[in-house]
Amino acid sequence: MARIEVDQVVKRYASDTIVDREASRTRPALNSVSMAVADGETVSVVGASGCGKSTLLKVVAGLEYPDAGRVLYNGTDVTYVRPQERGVGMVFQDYALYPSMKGQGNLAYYFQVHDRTEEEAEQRVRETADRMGVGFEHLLGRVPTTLSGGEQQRVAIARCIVRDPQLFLMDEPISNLDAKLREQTRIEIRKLLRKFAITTLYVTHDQQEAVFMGDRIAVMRDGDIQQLGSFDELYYTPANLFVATFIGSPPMAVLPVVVAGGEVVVGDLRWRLPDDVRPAVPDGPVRLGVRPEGWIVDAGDGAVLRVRHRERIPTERASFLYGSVGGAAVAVATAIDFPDRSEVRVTPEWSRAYFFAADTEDPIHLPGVLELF
Amino acid sequence: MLFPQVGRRQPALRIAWWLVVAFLCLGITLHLFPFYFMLVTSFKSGEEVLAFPPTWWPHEGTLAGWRLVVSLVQGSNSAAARLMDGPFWMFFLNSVQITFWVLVLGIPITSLAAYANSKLQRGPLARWSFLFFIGTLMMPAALTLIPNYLLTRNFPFALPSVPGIPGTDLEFPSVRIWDTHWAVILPIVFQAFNFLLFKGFFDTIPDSVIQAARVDGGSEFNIFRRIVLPMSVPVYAVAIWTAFSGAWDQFLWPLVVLQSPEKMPASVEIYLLLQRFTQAGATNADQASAQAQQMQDILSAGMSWNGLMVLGILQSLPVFIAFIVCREYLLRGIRLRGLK
Amino acid sequence: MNAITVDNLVKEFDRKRAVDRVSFEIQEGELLVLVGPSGCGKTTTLRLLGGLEPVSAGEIRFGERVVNDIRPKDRNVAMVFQDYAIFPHLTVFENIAYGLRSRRTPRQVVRDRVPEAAKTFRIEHLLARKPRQLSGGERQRVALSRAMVRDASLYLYDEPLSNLDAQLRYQAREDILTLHREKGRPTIYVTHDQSEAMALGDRIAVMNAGRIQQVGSGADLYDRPVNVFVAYFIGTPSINLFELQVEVDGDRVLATGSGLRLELHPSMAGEARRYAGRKIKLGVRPEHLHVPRMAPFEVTDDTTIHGIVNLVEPTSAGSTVYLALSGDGAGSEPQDFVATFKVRLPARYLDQEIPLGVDMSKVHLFDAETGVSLLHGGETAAVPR
Repeated sequence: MARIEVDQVVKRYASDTIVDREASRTRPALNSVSMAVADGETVSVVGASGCGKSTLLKVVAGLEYPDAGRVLYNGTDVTYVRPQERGVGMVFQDYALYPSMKGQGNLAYYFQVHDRTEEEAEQRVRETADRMGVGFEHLLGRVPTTLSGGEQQRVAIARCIVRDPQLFLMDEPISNLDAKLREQTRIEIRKLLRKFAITTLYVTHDQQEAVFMGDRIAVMRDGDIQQLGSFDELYYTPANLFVATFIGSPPMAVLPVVVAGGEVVVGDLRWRLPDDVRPAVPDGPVRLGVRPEGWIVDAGDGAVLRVRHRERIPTERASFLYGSVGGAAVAVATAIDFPDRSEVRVTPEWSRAYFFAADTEDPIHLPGVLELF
Repeated sequence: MLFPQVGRRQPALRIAWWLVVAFLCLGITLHLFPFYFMLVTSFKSGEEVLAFPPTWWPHEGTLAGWRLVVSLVQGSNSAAARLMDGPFWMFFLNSVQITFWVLVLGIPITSLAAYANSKLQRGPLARWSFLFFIGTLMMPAALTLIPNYLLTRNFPFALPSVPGIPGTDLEFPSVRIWDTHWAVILPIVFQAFNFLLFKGFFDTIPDSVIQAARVDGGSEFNIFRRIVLPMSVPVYAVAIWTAFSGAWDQFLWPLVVLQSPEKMPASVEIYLLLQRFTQAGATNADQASAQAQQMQDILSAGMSWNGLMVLGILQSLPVFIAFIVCREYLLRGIRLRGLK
Repeated sequence: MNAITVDNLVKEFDRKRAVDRVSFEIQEGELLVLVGPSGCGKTTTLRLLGGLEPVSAGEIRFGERVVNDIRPKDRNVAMVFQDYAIFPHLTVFENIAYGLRSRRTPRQVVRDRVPEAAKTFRIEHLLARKPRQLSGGERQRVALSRAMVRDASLYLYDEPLSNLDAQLRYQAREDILTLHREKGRPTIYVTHDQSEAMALGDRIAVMNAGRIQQVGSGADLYDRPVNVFVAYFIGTPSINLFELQVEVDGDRVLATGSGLRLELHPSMAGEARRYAGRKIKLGVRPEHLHVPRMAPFEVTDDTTIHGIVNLVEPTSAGSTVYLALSGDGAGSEPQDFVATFKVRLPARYLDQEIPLGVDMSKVHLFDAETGVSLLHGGETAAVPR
């Protein structure tokens, strides 16, 4: 097991196209990224495609060398150590099984290239198969192309576990699976990670998956880590507007409003801020963030929301109304049996509202973690 | 998939379909005709070969050409054999030897270069070296004839004479590979077309497979041998076959660079035989009459175009056999890449 | 009259049935969602409708016309593909215009309609660009514009959202519904994600193993599944299934096994009585497991199950808790199950055993062998998983 530190890593890719005049102008894939992962901890790295999350993973694995900065395992600088010598296990989105070998061969490859005896390889493979649980044994005798996506991914994970890695790196391991299989597999992976307590970096573009897999979550954008923290921290105390809209689905509505004299002005509507919020929000233009469950429906002073479209989600016992207020897209969570209406009035529940600066996207006032008890 | 799968029973599509089939058959016929004519001619008698208009099949089949070639191969002392510089099997062996070395050296060098370019090099370096190699494809062979020739005289200097080491009387060390088989082999050890073929295939292997192996601790060569090579068998089959037929049918370059008659490959020797046979020029009366006598002997022995056709068949036989042996892989590989 | 009729459709690949006697109808202006796990035949069904594959048996009718042997270009369908299938060498404008041009539409019409379609999806400023200069979301909107610009008699979507980042999906979903409402033509939407199906469809058809298992509204499928497969497939987290033995004790009907002993609700007791002494599968939705103190009904010993907390996933509305049954645990691995709470379960309960009350009036009962629902199975020839 290992403690991982990433220290001000910068990575810039040379462009791969034959002719690319813009190559010199593109921004780095990683722009001075620093983070620390404690021993045995799982950190999810989440962000839109192209935000640098996979690059970060490759730098930690040693598959890419950073242009600047350091990577430390247990305090030892391994920045320029070859991946072959780092002792990491990596799981890829496309499984990356060796297509010409059976499951057994895939697991044993590590021992062959490290000149271990065949008995040792066989014994370790058998042990791992036991630990992987029911039904794994019969995957060993089959060629990857005959396995389903979920089975391939199990083999890929076993291939990492078989050699007691210091560090587990997962690059969107389940995004090629279909939704139902994804749900099962992620539970399985999470349980394995808990069981083996291996330090893990888990990269995904799906915020729900990130929340599920990670003890902590790192939100990335354009080569920077925007925030690293637990789900509650990200949800209730986002570091900026981007994190606030990124976490939670349907996403938070962001209304451009003006605060004047303790009142929020949207169009010709005025909302009086409650006493505990008012001092925290200065006068002037701000952005008001409200999550779907943060709206009070049919209160007297509500803004008119023309319902464009409505989703009834029986599985969540909720229905969502989509429309816009003051030009901003708004989603409102209501009860499942909420009647079909073309218009509703909605008011933010001020104890759950977020305020961000209009220009910098920095938070001005946040609700903080809700106290339920 | 030229046609939509649905709607084939509609008349317009059905006609179009048969038209395509007809064109395909025409193409196949045109392609096979030279082979057919070669085969048929080998069974014709001397006069019939020269008959005009040509006959479509041997009216009076004869095995004279084949019998003659058997004697040529064995190196008997017939008049026709005297036109050659040695027994035919000797030239055949020369071809085998040259082709063998081209394959043994060429395929690993080409494929490893392509692998390195596809998976190990990055950024501008990768694309410039790729363009460089591909650039050699655009160069017509005739253009490189002279520089290559000079190279074989004073390898590795493409100069008419070896430069001296400055400050001494000595010359730089150089090897004269002119008039050896190496002069034929070395220039085609790197095959740009195969490079393109390999590179195209290696590009389709996901990087993650190689990265996984790297994380697993495999050395770069081990990754190539254990992971990449087993996946690439069909492409190797195609590359080996194109390299084989290229080396086996080489003509102009060996003709230029080889001097000693006993070093010629079969392809060149057949041409030389043909040349002597058709243009046996004479410079004086004695020679003329001697040659006329000789030609008479040859003709009476049945040697004519029919014999040359038999030699042609012998020459192309190995390529055929190579094709049949690995046709399974070849077809798979060609389907994989779409050859030429 | 039905706009689209699919009648006993069969498609075989090498004698393997990918689509097995599928029948459904779509009305003018209706959107049908086909949902199922990968390899269930949903995409093949879509391709058959689009004319990309020949039909092995059965009939597809557009109105009265049988189109089995009509070429795709003459069927007048518009299709949006998973990878968008944009022509990389053409500009956005030419991509959108392609369908019109290949149908010999007058130039003036093309010039008018292409920007109009592009405007609907907010890409009118990108018309001169090449696809490689576009982001994933923009490419997807080009694909939608391409469908928008046509007047097709059937619109087909093949998992159009699965290559998009999560945050873009909400907008894209609205875009698709916009297109559907604007055109008012029959539409079929294929997805493997049941939550997407729920969000989009008036009518949802659940497919498995080449067959349609059930067609209905989202609420139908969730509350009245006809078999185990539908019950399991619809809903995240999945329904918990326990294989139990039915015991009759006077006027009480009990389901026992795996260390569980649950009394069936009187409303279901009649159906279950027929299974006395036999095995059934008891399905409990995660939301119907309650912390006893907070349950909306009275929790007794006969409506309680005990589990050891393995994982707690925080959600915006509360938490999802993954547990393992703490029954007799004789030998075999204890069965896992899931519960969703409206409150955050404190972390100190991890690895602890907690009791949970089962809302027995909301459970589902299935025949253990055939998988058909005892309550809603009816005469449907449902197929076990």
